[in-house]
Amino acid sequence: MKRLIIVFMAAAIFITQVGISLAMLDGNPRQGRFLFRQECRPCHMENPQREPAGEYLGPDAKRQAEWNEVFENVQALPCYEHWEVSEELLIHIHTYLHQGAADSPTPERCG
Amino acid sequence: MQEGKTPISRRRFLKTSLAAAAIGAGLQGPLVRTLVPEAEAAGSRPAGEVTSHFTACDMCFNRCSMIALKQNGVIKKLDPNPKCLKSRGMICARGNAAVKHIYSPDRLKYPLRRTGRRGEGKWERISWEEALDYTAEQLLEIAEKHTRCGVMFTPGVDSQSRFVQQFADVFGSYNITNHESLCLLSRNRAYLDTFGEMPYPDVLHSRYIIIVGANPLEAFITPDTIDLIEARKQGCKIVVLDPRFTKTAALAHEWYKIKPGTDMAFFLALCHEIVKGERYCCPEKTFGYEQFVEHVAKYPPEWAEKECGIPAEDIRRIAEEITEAAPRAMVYPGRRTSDYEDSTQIRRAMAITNVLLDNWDRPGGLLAAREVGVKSPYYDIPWYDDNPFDRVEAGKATGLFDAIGSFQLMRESVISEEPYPIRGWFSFKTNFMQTAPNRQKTIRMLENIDFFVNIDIFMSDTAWFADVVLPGNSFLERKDPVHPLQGSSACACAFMREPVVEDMFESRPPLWIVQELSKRMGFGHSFDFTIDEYREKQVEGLDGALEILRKDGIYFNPSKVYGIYAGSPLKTLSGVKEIYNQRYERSGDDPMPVYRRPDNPGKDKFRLVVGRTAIFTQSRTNNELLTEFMDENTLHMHPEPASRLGLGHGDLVEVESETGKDRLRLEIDEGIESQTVYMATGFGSLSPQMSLIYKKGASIAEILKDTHDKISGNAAMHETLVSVRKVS
Repeated sequence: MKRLIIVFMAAAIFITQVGISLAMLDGNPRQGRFLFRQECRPCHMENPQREPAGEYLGPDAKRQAEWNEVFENVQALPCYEHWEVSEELLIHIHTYLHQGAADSPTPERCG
Repeated sequence: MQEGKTPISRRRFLKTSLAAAAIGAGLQGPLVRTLVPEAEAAGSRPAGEVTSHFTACDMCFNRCSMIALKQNGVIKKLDPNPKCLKSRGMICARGNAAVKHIYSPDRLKYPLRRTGRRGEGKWERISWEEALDYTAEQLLEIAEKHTRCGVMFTPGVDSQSRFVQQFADVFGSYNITNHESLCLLSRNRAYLDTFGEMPYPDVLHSRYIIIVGANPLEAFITPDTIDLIEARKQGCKIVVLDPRFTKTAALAHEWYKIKPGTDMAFFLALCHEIVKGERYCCPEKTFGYEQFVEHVAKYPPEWAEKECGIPAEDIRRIAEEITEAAPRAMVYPGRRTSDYEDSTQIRRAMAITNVLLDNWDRPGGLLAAREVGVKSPYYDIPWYDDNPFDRVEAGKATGLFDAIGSFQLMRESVISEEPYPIRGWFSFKTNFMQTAPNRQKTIRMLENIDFFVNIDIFMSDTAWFADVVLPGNSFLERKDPVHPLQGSSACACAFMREPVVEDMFESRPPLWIVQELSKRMGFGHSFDFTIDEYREKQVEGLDGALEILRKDGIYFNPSKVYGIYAGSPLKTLSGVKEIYNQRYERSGDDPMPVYRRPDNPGKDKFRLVVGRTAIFTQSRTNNELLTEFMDENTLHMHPEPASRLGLGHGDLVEVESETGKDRLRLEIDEGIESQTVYMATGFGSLSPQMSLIYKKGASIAEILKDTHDKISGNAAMHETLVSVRKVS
């Protein structure tokens, strides 16, 4: 029961954080770039360096609205369980990807 | 033959007379130099085998593939690589002259450390070991006091700039910029915000091209420059609008001597006519078409005629002709668009005209980027909690490119120390002292820079003010990574360089320099690779690419040329071509281009415009072969104002703006608009070690005022009004 409560509270905090991120996207894109390269890029390169290998992902791999959709339901990502980044830092990754999205003013290729 | 005269051969007579003429005319260089045979020609050394080596030119950004011919360890000649589709199997005079680039006596030969005041020219020779130790120590000290972002990096645009960029990234600074904010950012901004990417013009297959404020027959872009001539032969009509009678104007079917800064008036009127006609772009593929029709209703050709001087009837006719040729028709996007404070909006007007021609992703129109397939190897970057939130000039222009920024705006921040101080400068192959408007302000910026290290192959004007100067090697001595390129519809390609000759003197490649510095700064593991290992990662998935590169000197990817989007949404906010830009509206910029009349220079004042010739690339003027064609720049002025001011051809004149002044010779030019004067870039050097151009002519950097495009932060080099007076 205690474990269930912790999970529930963690989920509630996470959902709140993501909600805030969608509303404001005021994370630090520089820190987001660092975190993205640490957590995501090695598996999502054109030539992945780490398992589980995924398709290429850089900020410009999706449009801004698509990145918002991804982060609305970030737990559903198959690789989510492999992440070592705390939930409060997700806003930085989201901001970075949104800021360099394909339809952003400054699309960023490499990640 | 007269009696008593010594018989001389025709050859000797010509040599003697020409030499006498040269000396008599006070010319110290060109003619005399050509008459002196090369030292090695008279030597007794037996001729060795001539070997050929693939390389790629680095005398400008086009990077045409070349074959170097080497004999007895010396590069004798550079030939074009006939397989290079991007250059159509050619190289230009600059490419040929690279033999004097590598063998220039002015080359930096060993590391130097400043001992006098900045710009005083007092140096001591130091070892590489000492130079690297000292540089690493200085950079770390600044990082300790002012955070990692307290050092700015200007990595140039070179095949090894990627390593300097990586060094900046791994060091932890995001204050990185290059020359592009003096060049093409406003063009990129405008096309990115209209089409979602920067297009490549398919000149070869076009039937009608309007070229405005660009001069591709002198400021070469391969293959566009060559394709323009071929397209013309095949019936393509070329219309040029330029306040000068340039070489491109000479090629054109029609040339209009437009008043500088009024290009947008022409295009708004052209659009006014195009949307009235029967042929126009399908509104459903655009965002804001209806608003635009309403917007341009107030810009009829008669109005434009009063602004730009081009007759209304010609604007109407051109509108008819170009829509008839569409979609194989275009407004040529050009390259250097660092001209006005609204240069992004001017290029938006041109981009929207292209939208109306419906030429996107189609033959003879504007092409999307093709896939070359060369990859960017991964590297880790650090995170420093004490680093500031953003780059130093963030927010100072509404459409600043996050990764490039703006040199001029960065310079303002260094001087003001707002929002935070920058105290270090690491530069590779950039020469802002010669290219950035308001040179005195760049010198003033250095008062706030505690340590400045510069890598170059010459003691450029910028290197002249450095604390440590590191001799880089030239491209002909280099082993470089694979470099991807796109050449319009001609090709998506890549090249790589192998050293043609060994490093001369104590010069070293940029990769080696950042590897050595990284070891000393605690992140050596970030550069623990060889160029061969790096290349392998770059071409993963491109079967046989390295073998092809070694065999042919160039690799082509037969990727799709036209119809790349094929119904897919564009990378714009709306997913279609954005005539009305929603982001501009949100940021307070005009969502559609609004014409603003440029300042009139007034009586006896002139608008200064700058550009380059086919002979030189920006400030890379210190070349013995090329200065034989042009050894100093001149001020071009129309004969009418020259006569009024009592100025004659060849007079030494002083050109003065609100920013500064410099002196050069006057050239009377009937082909220039009467309230405009022009000078070429790359002269009036401050550095005596740029011996061929030291104090020769004038530097644009000394005269141009440092205003900028309000959206992109690009320099606005044609906003300077000057007065001209005779000195002697």
